[in-house]
Amino acid sequence: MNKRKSADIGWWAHLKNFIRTNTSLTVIILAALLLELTTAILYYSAQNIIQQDMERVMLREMNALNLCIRNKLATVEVTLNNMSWVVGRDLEEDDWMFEITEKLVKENSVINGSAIAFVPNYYPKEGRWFEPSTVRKADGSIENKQVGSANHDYTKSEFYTVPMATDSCIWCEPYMDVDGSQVEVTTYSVPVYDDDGRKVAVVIADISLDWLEDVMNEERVYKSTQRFLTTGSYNLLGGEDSPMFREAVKILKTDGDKEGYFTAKDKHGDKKHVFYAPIGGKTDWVLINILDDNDAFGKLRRIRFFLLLPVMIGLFIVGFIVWRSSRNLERLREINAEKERIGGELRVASQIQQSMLPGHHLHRDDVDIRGSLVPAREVGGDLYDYFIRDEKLFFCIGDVSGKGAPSAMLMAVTHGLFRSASAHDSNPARIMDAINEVACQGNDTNMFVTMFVGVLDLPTGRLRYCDAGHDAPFIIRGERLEVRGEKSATALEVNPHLPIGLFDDTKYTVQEISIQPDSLIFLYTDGLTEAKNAEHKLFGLERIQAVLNTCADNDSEEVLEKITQSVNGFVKLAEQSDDLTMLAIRYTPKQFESTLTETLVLKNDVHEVTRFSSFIKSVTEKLGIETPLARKLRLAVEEAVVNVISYAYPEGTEGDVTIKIMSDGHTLRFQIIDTGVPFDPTKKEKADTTLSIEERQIGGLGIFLVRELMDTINYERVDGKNILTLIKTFKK
Amino acid sequence: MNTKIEEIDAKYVATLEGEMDTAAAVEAEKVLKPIYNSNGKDVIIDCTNLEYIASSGLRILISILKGAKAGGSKVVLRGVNDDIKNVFKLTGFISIFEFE
Repeated sequence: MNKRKSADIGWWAHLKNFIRTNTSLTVIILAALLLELTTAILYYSAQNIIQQDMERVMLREMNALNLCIRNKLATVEVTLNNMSWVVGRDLEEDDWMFEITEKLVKENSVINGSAIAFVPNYYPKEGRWFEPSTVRKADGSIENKQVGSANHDYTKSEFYTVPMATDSCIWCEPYMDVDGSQVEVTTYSVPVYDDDGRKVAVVIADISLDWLEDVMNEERVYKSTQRFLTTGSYNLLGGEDSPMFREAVKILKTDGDKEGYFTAKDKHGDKKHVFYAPIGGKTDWVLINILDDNDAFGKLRRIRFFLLLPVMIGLFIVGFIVWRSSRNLERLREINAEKERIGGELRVASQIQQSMLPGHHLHRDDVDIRGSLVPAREVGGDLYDYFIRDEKLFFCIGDVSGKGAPSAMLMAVTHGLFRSASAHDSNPARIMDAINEVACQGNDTNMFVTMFVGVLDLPTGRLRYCDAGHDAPFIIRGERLEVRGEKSATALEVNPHLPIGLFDDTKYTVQEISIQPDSLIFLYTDGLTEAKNAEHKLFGLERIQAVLNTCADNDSEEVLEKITQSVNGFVKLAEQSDDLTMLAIRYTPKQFESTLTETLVLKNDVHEVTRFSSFIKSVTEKLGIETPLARKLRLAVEEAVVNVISYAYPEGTEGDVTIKIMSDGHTLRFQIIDTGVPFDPTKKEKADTTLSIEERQIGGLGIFLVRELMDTINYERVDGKNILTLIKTFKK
Repeated sequence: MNTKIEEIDAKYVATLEGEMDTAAAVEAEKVLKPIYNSNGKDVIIDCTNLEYIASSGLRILISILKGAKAGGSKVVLRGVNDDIKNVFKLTGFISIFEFE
């Protein structure tokens, strides 16, 4: 039961599915079916009407013909009946009989001949056979003669035997009158009675059937109508013999009914309508009318054809239109699905893009950073990034030309380039060069990126930056109240450079300023300045500046909130036209108040390390640092010092290496200062300690140990000096 | 620091004593250079009295190890203190030396 049900549902589902997927085809099929149904109903009702009409017309026509024939025959019948009465009355006069027949023929043009056939030996003097007759000859003359004889034994003839046997009048089978008028004739015969009521003779009248032809050729409604008049045994009386007639007769003979209608096919297979009806009266004659189907229904067929033709053409056109529109619909559906898919992918891309950005928030004792990126579309072409490496804050903000997926891809590439370039370099100009070099390769679409890259040295507050066509960041200097007067946001002075991705020979230059503690750096993309309200007014620099002026004591999160509130209040319900990206950096370095400072100056010679060993041991002892930690500190600083001794000065030249140890009781700061060539040991790649001994590089181990053992390492070149700072907290 | 090499039971025994900072390592290398190629003999490096070692000292040990491995012999570090072992851990050398 259930199985059956599910099969039914399956069938229904299949149908529904078919209709859904082939809507146009279904519509066309339904329309065609409907049209066909309408046409069929129309056709069959019309056919019925025509059929009824035809039958009525034929019946009327045949009735008229019937009447016509009956009238003619009735004349003969009445005359002959009267004649039989006259003959019966005047039986005594046998000569008188010729006068009777002659009179009959003369006065009735219809009658070709007449005779009175007496029973044998009625008039003994006339012999056994006596049949006085009058015949109208072909030339119109009239001849009387006695025709009864041994050779002409009428007593065996139908016209004699039937009335004699049945006491009735009959119309006999037609025959060719070879003796008289040379035409086909038929005979009416009436019995004659004497006064005693005995049958003594029959009177007969021959009538030519010529007039029948005229009757048969009477005007007809259907031109194709063929008319036939037959005797009861279907011998042809009138009309032209034809195969179709014989075919109809064959059917009639089996039918037996005297009146009716049927259809038959002729030898060509054409349909014919056959109507037949008895003439009645004293005859058993039958009138048969045969007409072509085409004659009756041809017009209808033509109408159907001419009706069907435009309907088919219309159906074809409608089908074509429906097919086209459904194809368009299908295409639209595909496009929508494609859109949906791309939309979905863009959403994923957007998530990936968002996940590539650093966390929205980074908070440390010395720096507080918050970023925000609101794309105008699903994925944006803006980027920001920041990270801290070796006590340097690397940050950037960028805006790729255009919006949407292509710019998002370039944004992702740029972001990756920034990360890889800044992994080993802390010079913003060189980072910019590196990004530009790669970005220019194969940039056939001429998309470009405006970008700002900054590197803030956290221990010293030295900010180096490079601007590639990007809006200059704002800075609020964290000067002391009495010095700064009104705190005001000012745009950072930037050297103009071309954006990234246009020309690979663009030279980027680095700029440098010193950032005071408590300063705020605010970076943004033009999505902020060019945020439009409903009146198409831009948010503009002044508004940003005005908001920032109120942000002197806010942390980075509050700054972004204020700006966002302000821009939202300005834009209101207008659609966001561009990506909106902001980055706020609050620099809050701790003041390091040294309670102990020890300095050692070495020559650039490894043997001087012995002096360093004594020096650091005495300092760690002074600070009461336990041996294991003391050994770690010693190892780290020794490695850093040896590194500087080995690389800061070219071989054969002499120079000093100054080691400064400072402590505030909790944290130790080691500064290794030299005046040699610029040398940044933090740029060295980390040694890979997982490699096998054969693969291990011996070099790089020293700086690796420094990174492992110290909390932070930081390099700066200031005033022609390399300053390497190592920091370690030894007491909480 | 003090550095010496002995040959005991067809094995080299190198004894390192004191603090091997970068300067000391330069001197120690002069002493230890002969066993950079141990001629198939195993090498025992006695660190029982070694208090400190810098990366230049590690390099010497690596050189000895490379030489021994090339000759099919092994290097065993003896009596390494925790602080130095920690350095071996940091650098990943803990896995390529044998300790006893």
